[in-house]
Amino acid sequence: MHPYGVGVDPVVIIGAVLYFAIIIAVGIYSRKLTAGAADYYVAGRSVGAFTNGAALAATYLSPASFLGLPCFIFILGYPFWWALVGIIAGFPIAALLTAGPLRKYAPVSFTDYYCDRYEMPTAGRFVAGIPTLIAGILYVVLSLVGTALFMVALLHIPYKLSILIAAIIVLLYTVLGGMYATTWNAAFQCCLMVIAALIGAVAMIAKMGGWSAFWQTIMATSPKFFNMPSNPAGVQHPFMAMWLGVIGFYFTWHYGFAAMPYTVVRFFTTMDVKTARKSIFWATFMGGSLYVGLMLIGSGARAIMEKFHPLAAKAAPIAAAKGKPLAIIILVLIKKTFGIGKVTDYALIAAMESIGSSALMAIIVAGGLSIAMSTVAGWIMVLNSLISRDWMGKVLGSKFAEEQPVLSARVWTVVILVFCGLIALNPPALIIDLSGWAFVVILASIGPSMVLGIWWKRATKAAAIWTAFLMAPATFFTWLYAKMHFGKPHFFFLNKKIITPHQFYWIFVGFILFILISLVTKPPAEETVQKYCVELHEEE
Amino acid sequence: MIKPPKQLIFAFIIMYVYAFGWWIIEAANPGITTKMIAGAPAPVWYCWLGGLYLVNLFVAWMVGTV
Repeated sequence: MHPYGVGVDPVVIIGAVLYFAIIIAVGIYSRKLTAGAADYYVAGRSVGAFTNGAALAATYLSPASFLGLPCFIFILGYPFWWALVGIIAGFPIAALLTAGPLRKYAPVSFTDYYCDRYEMPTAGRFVAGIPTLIAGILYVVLSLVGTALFMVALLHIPYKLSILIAAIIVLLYTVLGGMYATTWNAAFQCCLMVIAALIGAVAMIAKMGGWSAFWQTIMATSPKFFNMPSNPAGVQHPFMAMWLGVIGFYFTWHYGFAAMPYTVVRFFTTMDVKTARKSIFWATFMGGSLYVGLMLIGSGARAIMEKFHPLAAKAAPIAAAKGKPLAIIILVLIKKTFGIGKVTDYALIAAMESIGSSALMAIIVAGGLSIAMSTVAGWIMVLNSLISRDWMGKVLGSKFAEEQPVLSARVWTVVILVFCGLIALNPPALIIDLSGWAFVVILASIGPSMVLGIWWKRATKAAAIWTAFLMAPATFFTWLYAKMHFGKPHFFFLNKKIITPHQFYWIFVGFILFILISLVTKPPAEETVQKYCVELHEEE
Repeated sequence: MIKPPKQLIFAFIIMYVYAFGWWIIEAANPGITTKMIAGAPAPVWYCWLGGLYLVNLFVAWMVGTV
């Protein structure tokens, strides 16, 4: 029996079991295709445009999209819609900034480009590899926790058992099928995510009385929902009280798609350059469709919870006594019931519970598990090639890693998942929060050297090293300072009155720093520039 | 500097002019965000459907033709 009166319907259990069965079956089938290292790491460079596009969207959009963004919309209001526009707008930008050139270069691992372009065969593995390792571990832990949260809240499986199940299933298909299984499963997971978000949104609109009634109820429940910073009546949340907050949230995730390791490696798997670029259209289509649904769910979440959620009656007197929105108290009660994650993690689940449909919850549980597990698998593939192939094989010269690359990668997959799973069993709150920093550190420290290395002949090795060396601690210190002193990492670390989401300005500082250092340091050799910069842009 | 393809320049222009354009309009006309059009506030059309979906899809299609 559910803690607040909603039992686990067999339909929901069937939905979850079917989902698990399909992704494990894909893993087992993919094993036959994984004969060599190229198959394991880059799926034999055989992936088509739609499959790669859907896999790109599923991998890039972490459980934060399903769990966090609807709640951000419901708390921050319409101004936060632009953040979602910014995220999806980053997909096409990535197509031209990195997708085509990197596919033409055709590396195996994320760090290969840094080694070749910046003439540092060993140091390049660490300059790009260390920020990637830290960010990857944080993301895998966060995504395992996200997967478990869905299982706890919707299937009522104990938390630790949920982590174990999630880790074992991801382990099964990444170990067996490598990038083939990861790609096909991510594409399948993307379809599930999109279907879940769109059906959830349509069901919510129907429950609230149709299109016009839906918007009227939102405006009646949250009168400042649509106000922008210049509105004299004020905005819904202080984060959106200044335009810098709106613009900052837009840009925070905007460039991520172009330089994040777990999306960049997907460009290596496509059949050719054109397929890499075309896959971005499908990534935009699928990611955009997901967000079309999530925007509606986030916008209507407060209104539907306050009207229909089973806990609304119990929460009403508490909300009245504390002077807080009823929906927030409902989320607080749910969080108390399950005891994991943050209050904001339950917005989508609570909104969908308010509709009261078992079939819908079955789709939501499959969609939620999909978005979380695809991110785990995507990062695992980046990390196992980083540690097994790059560090153990190329740097340390391990015979095992060189002579048996697939087995070595499989062993490291197990090690990484066990390590992250152990952290996820009892995750410190800060580890979960740090995933926001993980994003900025990658973009500010190694993003400039990737993008400018492709597009600017003058980009130098010294700039790549110093930008990584300076930006990693700078982003970490300012992010942590804002979090510790002001309570949220979205305040500018020196002044709480200025909103700078996740200290996003470091991304621009990183690019400027990279350019300045490049201009005053020794330029790269002409043949290196020709091979790893100029020729990447020439027509085939 | 490698000369960027014209589609990349157009992509940047379309996306940023669209977003910043609406922000400038909203700053100048704060009431526009609550103006109802076809049963929904105006941003539902120009941000949710236009910005998030149609503009991004058009740009993605355009860059795919490089």
